[in-house]
Amino acid sequence: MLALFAAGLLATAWAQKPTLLVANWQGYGSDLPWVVQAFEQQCSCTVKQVDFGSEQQLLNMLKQGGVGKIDVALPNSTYIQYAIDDGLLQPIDVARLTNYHELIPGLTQLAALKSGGQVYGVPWLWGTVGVGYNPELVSAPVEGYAALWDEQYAGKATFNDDPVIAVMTAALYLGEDPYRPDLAKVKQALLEQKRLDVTYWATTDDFTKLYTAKQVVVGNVWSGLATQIQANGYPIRYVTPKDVITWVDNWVLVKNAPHPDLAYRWIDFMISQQFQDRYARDLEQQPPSPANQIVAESLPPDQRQVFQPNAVLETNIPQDTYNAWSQLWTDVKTTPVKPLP
Amino acid sequence: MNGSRSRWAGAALLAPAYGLILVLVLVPLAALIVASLTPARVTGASTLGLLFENYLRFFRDAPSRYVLMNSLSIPLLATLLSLGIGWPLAYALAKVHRRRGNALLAVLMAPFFVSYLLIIYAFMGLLQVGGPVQAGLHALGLVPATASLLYTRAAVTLALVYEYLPFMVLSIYGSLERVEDGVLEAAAGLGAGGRRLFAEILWPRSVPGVVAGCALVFIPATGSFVEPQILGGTRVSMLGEVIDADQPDVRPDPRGHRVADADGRRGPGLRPAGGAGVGEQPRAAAVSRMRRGGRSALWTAFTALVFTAMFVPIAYLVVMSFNTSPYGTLPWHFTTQWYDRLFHEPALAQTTLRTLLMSAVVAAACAVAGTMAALGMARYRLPRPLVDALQAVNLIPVTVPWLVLGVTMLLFLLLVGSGRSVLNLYLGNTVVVLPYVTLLVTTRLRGERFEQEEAGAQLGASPARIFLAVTLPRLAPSILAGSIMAFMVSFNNFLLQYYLAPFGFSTLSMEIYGLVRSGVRPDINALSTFLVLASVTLVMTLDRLVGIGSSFGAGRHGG
Repeated sequence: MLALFAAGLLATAWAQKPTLLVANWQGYGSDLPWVVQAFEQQCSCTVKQVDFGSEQQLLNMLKQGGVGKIDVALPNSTYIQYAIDDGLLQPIDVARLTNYHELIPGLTQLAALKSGGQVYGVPWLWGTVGVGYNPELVSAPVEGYAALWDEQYAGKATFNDDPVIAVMTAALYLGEDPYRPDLAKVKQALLEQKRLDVTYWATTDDFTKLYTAKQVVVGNVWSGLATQIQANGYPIRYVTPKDVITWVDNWVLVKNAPHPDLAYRWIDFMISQQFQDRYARDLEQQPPSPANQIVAESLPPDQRQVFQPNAVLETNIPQDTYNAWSQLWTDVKTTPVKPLP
Repeated sequence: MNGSRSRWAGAALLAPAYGLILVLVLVPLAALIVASLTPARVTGASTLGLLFENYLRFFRDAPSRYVLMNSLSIPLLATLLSLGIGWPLAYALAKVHRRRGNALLAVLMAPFFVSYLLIIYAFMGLLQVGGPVQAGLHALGLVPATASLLYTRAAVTLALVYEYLPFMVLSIYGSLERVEDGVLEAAAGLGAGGRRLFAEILWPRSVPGVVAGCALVFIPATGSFVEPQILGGTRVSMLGEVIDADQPDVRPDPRGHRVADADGRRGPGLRPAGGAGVGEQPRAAAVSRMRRGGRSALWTAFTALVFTAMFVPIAYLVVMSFNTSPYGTLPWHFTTQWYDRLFHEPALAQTTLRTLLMSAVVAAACAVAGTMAALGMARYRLPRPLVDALQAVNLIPVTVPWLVLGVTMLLFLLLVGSGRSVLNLYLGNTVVVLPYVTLLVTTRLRGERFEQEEAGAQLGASPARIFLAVTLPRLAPSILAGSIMAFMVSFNNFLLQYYLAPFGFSTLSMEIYGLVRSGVRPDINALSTFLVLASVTLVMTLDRLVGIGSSFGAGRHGG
């Protein structure tokens, strides 16, 4: 039996060159064949990716043996502080990144990426969560999050299944402070909104299948996803409300990273024009907006998004608040409502 | 002669299988129970305390009554439906189709090769407004044009029945197959009609299988969450959805759910205990086949109907693999671009091969360890209570949800300083599918008197020779069947792979589940098409060559 295992082990043995371990969402830019090839050539190393399916999973993966094995990871701005508090990251010396100065200043200045005067996150890609609608089936003007509560779309709407997005969207709709809203009112609003929904969507597939099959005509959606759907030949209009929810994904250096030099080179490569330009133009990949300012400003107008420094950023929510919001969202999801019409 | 069957030899045979179960299942589970009962404190890594916290939080906050009601009524309905369809199907396969029925049973498992997430997407496509099933029903005048079959309790129930029906069928089949045709013939000859045959012979004898089948459907169904969320939408909420964000699923929610099982598929085969099987009696079978004549046609039609229904979602996936839409939605335009893409994606091919290799190694290991354990229990005079206890322990890896097993194994391995590794991945996968081989071989050995082995020993053959020439050929069909089950189950065992695979090591099911952000493309459909074709071909070929199908039953004569 052991001989069998040994044979299996040998057959799956790894390469001899140093291997950089990257933790990221699958299919999110870093595991594209051309990316891996380009970087491996530059660094004379191998790149391997560990996938995660949610930010919470990433944190847990790091806690369950990831620290000391994984070199770099890509958390959302919301989660960086949690990772720092849990002792999972190490500060980044931005002087070692030759492309750092090309990043959009509004992004690099974000407080969410720093702690104790040191930088922990390097912004990579960012996007918004606005409202997408089908221009062929929707005639009334859609201007903001209020469309998600508009009863004329009853039975044809969808909403993003994410506690932070849900609470913030409802708060903005109600005119409350998105970081400290009245939770009772938020819950009421979300329950009212639920009556219009066919279902919630949580993954790319959830939304695309609903939308392209015309089961829904309006819903909140990631900016990159809307771009991709449009590029694939299904008409969709994307509206950025005045106070639009914005998110930023950032590269971090994991504590006790086995290959810190390779890690710095990787981050530098990821924020370089070489990568960001090609990736941003490959619409099938569903690219959000690049953090590299030079690339951002060179994009065609219909693709270009301008980062508003005072945008409603998904960031820095204290753990207790996050728990309260999660609880609220779970309650909303499991409370039965009478659907309209 | 007695020396070769000493208790110590028996114990030695048991060691590999039960050693694995002890170290990777029993000890970690015990540690979990101890840790969750102790108030929050930290041992070694702080991560342990934090992780268990999630499980404890679940028990503190009770879910709403509405969710509980749904979580019980829908699985209950699914179980009853599975029974209603599964029992007749099992009967048809066992008593009407016989030899062919065995192979058909194996073919029923072919959908195992398709990730169940894809199957759910197929259901979405079939049931939505404009989808083939909905359009078909509308054409028949059964539903209005705009009525969606999705986002209803019915859709969720249907998906659950689809996924768990094979378990029900296999369990009941195992019981029914043992009912000797001679008994049925005698009863019929004495004037008993179909109803009496059913009420007094068939149903009572099938009860162990029915009970096992119901458990195998109901338990995982209550923990299901992907089906309610994708097919039930906001209108159907079940317990399984209230699960932890840090478990590998696509729904972020920071509440722990100990019993939730992301992939309820555990593979077939909780063999009902008890009932010594007698071999087939060819003459009686021939006579009864002649008698049954016309009724056979009805049963054949029924079997054909059920099999067709089972393969409809697969067919849908295959059809969609030739459609241009990257989202698997209509309208339909023919293309082979996804197959093209599949062939130009070396990474996906590598991952598939890696997964196939892993499953093959695991299946082979199970074949060896499971057979040894079964022989140890059957042939070497171990105390009866011990054997019973061992057989009960054998069931633990298949009844404890893999979500729980995966986490506890990883935490335990981290605690002892091992953590994720390819070896642990292989060992972990082996331990959860070992029971299939052990159970099948044990069943086959039940009631055996090993006369031929003893004859061989008396004639001076070495134990090795006896084993190779006599025992092994007789056991081969059971070992093969169990290994195939082990292969298929570990191929799709996403949860264990997720927890135990070293970082950077990816398997096919991990790849598919990782596509939450970028979306599942039809090249995965294309891949699934190949896998299903390959598995059906493999199964039918093996059946031709070795007759694996008949091993599900009481076994052949002689050997």
